[in-house]
Amino acid sequence: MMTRMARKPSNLIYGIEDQPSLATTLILGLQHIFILSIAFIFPVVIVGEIGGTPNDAQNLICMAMLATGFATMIQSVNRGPIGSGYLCPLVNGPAFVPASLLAGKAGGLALIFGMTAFAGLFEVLFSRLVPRMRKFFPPEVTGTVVLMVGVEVIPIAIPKFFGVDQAHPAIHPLSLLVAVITLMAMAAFNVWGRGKLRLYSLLIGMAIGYAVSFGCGLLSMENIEVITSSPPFRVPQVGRFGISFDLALAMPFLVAALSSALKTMGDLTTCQKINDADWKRIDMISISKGLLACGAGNIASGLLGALGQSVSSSNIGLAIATGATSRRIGYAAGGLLMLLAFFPQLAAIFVIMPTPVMGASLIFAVCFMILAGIQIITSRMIDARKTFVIGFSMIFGLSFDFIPGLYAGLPPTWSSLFSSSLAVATICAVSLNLLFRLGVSKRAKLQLQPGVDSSQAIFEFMEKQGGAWGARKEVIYNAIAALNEMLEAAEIIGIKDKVEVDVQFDEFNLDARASYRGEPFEIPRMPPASMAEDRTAPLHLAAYMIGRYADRVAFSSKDGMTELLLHFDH
Amino acid sequence: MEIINTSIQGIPVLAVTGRIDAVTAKELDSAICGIIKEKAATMVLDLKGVDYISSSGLRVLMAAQKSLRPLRCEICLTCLQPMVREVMEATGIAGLFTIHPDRKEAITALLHT
Repeated sequence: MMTRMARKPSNLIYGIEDQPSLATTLILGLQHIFILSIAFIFPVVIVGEIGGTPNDAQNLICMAMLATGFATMIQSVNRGPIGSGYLCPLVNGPAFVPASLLAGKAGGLALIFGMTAFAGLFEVLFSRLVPRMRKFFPPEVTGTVVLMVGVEVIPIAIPKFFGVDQAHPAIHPLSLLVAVITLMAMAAFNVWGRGKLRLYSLLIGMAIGYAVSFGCGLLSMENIEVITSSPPFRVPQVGRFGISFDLALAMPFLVAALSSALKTMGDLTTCQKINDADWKRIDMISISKGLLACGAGNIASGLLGALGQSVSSSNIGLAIATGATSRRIGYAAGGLLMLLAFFPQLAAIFVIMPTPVMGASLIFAVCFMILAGIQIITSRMIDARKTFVIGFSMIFGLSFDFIPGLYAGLPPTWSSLFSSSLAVATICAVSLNLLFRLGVSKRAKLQLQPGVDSSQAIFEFMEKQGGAWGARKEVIYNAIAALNEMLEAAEIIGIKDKVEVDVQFDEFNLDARASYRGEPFEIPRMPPASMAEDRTAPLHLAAYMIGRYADRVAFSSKDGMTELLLHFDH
Repeated sequence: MEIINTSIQGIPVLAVTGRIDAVTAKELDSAICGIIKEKAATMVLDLKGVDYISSSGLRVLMAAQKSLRPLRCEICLTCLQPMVREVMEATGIAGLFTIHPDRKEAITALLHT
């Protein structure tokens, strides 16, 4: 199959193939690191839960920088068997936290690392199967997953934005003030800023957030001391805690890897869409290579001594917001992140990030992810079946956050499967898609009587089928228009019998075969020069329009019967 | 398809809603011919509500325009939906008509000619 060059969307300042200057690339890479650094909280939480020391946590963060930096770089590679080729940074995100807590309590950090490498191996295997799984992931499923990827971050972002946690359930006014100022600054520079101001809108907003936090005491001298007391240079201690395995923990890690892989598929779908103005469908090869990079990243995490990692949706949101998706930024972010592992003093700047600044940054990035999901869902026609796939999945996915603990009472295997709103929504969407595919034929037939039937019959038939197939609206419209011109041409040439129309659909093709008793007619390349004097002009015009609406037209005749093939690329 | 026949400052305005195909094109033809028979005058055809026009519909428009030309009158089109505009441009039929972006502009232009 020929590979089509993606057309850069007009809202991007630096598209995937663009090469911003070195300085711009580094600053944009740094901007991504600020968002990634919000997830440094997870190693701290896990070490705290399993009774580790602050030094262990610092080492874990260091290893996270090395492992995710490496994975971010290979994810950006667009040649060879590994890497999706997109700016799609990876992070020690929440996907592996529940499984890591189980492993940490059972066998310490060594077991977490061993099982993380095991999960990485599973992702590598899964990536090999993905190219054959297109039917499991139509746009209504991937769109719902992308939307829920954004929604999943809301329960993390909102408490940080309002300055609330379990110990302090009341809104903290000062935190809220900092968060509002930070978010407004980001949004203002993004909306009204031009060029560099829009590119760096998150970084500028964060800088303002840090300054306001310092001014109002949310960032204290003690925090600054964390920076000054850290050593300027230190070689990371790779593999300090060792590595071990326990088959009993295979299931939770497989579930985490699967959930992470599905999220990655949603994220990479967004990357494909935002980088191609003519995007139509998922490129499964790029997804497979991207999943392979994630698997390699998790194997690296296990071997180096870091937590499980997955794609960071917030960073993709940031790329959309700033209009900068060049893969060079991925290389820069990954490289800088790996370098930071050697410079604890610089890394400490990210570690002390004020909580409301984190909340504002997440909200800023996530709203773009939610919209990307909606756009993917609405890129196709939607019938009742798809409405249920999307609606049920979202409702049950959101129930995880709306009613905390709802799925906690399930048996352990099931509760680890239903571990987040995203996981619940994804499981629902994939299963319901398979269920509602039952009874949907890829072929449908229609009979038309020239001179009697109007375009209404064709519109009703094709719109119903388009919805059931999840076809693109514009392709269905072209098929309707071409079939209607065929019906009008049949009347003009005097076809008395019914025209049998057989329509066949797959993800790449829509073929309509119209059979009638009669002769073929010419499909002209040009419209009629004059309608007035030429008696053949009506047929000429209808036939010309058939040729314009269809991507390919062909006639075949046998025993007085003619078949007109109308092919539409999908 | 629905056709609403009104007059704005003495200028006949036909507002069409729905699809114009082989069946409904005949109704449109009757409506236009009715106005021409009553009083040959330049008229405005508001296609804001039309999301599809077939070759039969295009032929009706061309025939009406042709019959008005000797009388120094014409049909002005307004509010074309993107799909309709595209097909009119692709067939070269758009060049036979004066096309205005909205009804108000069409009326203003006609009053000043």
